Amino acid sequence: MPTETLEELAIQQLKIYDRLLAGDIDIKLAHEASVTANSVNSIVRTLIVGGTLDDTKKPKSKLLQ
Amino acid sequence: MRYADMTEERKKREREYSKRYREKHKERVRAYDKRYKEKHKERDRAIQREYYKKVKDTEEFKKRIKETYLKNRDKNLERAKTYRKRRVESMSDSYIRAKLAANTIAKPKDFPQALVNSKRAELKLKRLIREKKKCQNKLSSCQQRHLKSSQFSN
Repeated sequence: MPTETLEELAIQQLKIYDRLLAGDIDIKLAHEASVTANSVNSIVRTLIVGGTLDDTKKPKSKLLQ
Repeated sequence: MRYADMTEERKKREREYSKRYREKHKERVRAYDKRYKEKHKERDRAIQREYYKKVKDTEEFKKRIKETYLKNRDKNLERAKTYRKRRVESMSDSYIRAKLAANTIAKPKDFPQALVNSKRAELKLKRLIREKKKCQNKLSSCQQRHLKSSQFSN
């Protein structure tokens, strides 16, 4: 998994945070950026959770079974 | 002379002397205590385990545990609440990791630091958006109220 991309994503989000705080960009744009970031984070998270699955453990969620 | 063989007056004097000494050499005493604890860690744990094994089923012990629990319940609940609040506000690594691991079979330590950092940035941004939205909503409702009142007066 490329960790640089995630670090870049974090830096990008913090930049957007600062710009929103300073009033340089509007909420709509910041919201779109946060939704995109959420999707990326969710995908990475799902990949990691999927990787931790093994036969000895049964997942708690029925969706993962 | 052993402490147990001393008279009450002598014991009091000894205690006062000890207290003065500890206050005067705070750092030295603290360092010594730390070293001593580290050195005898295993022995102390064994003593505690042994003691617990002996008393855990006695009525007196159970009663004492219950009393202590009831006595400190409110204080402990309050403390736990403060701790939880601080954890959420500061967005500590453990909080983010717990959030990522919620409702999954993955453990908090399974997530790489890069994802934790990214998630923290996302949460930070989301919170600011929510805050700004709240402010906007408040402002717009104030404006509407002002507009209505001005129409009514006209």
